[in-house]
Amino acid sequence: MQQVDIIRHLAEAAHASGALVVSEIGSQTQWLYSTGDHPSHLYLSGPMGMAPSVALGVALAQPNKPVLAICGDGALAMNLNALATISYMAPKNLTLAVMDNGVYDLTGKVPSPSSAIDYAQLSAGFKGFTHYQQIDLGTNLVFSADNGLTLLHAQVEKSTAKAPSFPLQPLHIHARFRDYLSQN
Amino acid sequence: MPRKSFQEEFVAQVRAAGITHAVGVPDGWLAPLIEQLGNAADITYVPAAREEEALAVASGFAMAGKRALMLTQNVGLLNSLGCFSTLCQNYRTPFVLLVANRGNLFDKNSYDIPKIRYMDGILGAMNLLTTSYYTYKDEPDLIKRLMERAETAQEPAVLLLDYPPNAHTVQ
Repeated sequence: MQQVDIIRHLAEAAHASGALVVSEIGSQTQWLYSTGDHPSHLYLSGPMGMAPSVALGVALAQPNKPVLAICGDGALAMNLNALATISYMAPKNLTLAVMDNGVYDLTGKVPSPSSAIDYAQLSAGFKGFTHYQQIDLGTNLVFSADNGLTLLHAQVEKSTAKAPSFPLQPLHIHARFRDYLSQN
Repeated sequence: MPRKSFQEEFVAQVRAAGITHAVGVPDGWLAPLIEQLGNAADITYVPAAREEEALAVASGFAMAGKRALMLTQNVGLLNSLGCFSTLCQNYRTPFVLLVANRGNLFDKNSYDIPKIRYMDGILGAMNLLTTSYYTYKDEPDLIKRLMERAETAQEPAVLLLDYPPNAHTVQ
């Protein structure tokens, strides 16, 4: 399964559910943008690992909207302590989806230490997570504001194609996201 | 008239500033304030595991349209300069950032001194506007003014807590 395909699957479900989407710097942001731009997308461009934490802030600020964070396995490993904070707060409207290819995809595809992580056990160890699911292109995904804190794990291949360039600027992304929230 | 504690006055100012969301990492000077925020039913307080993620949570609050506060020790800010520059400054996220500026004359432990040694240089190098709590401690709308500064400048407004809050009370 290619990362771009499962990100497209997640994005389609997020749009159908009215979910806000926070994407990690690197291949997650670039592939998400390539599947179709939307003002509900909060594309991040640094530093690595902060998508779950930004998404926690968004989820707590907007408790009536589902929030999806699309994370890379390497980036999540850089901010694994965020899972403790997220588990403690346990917002019911937050879903983390980990794209796991065992490498830093945009950084020469060098190995990530995340290959030593068992995500099912990880979510079981953080008590605030109420749902864990291994997902693929056949998984029926519905996001809601009261799903319960969820960790999704997608085993993806190392990208064979180069992630497309990403033209949007951070201030524009921020302003557009806030405008979208004020109107929806 | 009974004197308000620092934390009572500070949280009253946080409310008056329209701040509804807060995040922080503990510090001894900030602990009474964190306890007060944690007990406030009308303020969501997130106890973050590390300062870098606290900056990200605060940025999430801000980008989702909420007025926010973050609390950290100065060494926590030093831990997080990459996040501050590439997220908070790059995305222009406005919130009030209260920093316990440890290592000054009120600290007697040798391990605190290195925390303040580089603060002035780092804050200057980052071209950050900062406000000293000591200078404005009698300003009744200090937090509101800081929030407005953050929103006008579109960046975190840094308030340096120069001495332990129990060193004084407010009328």
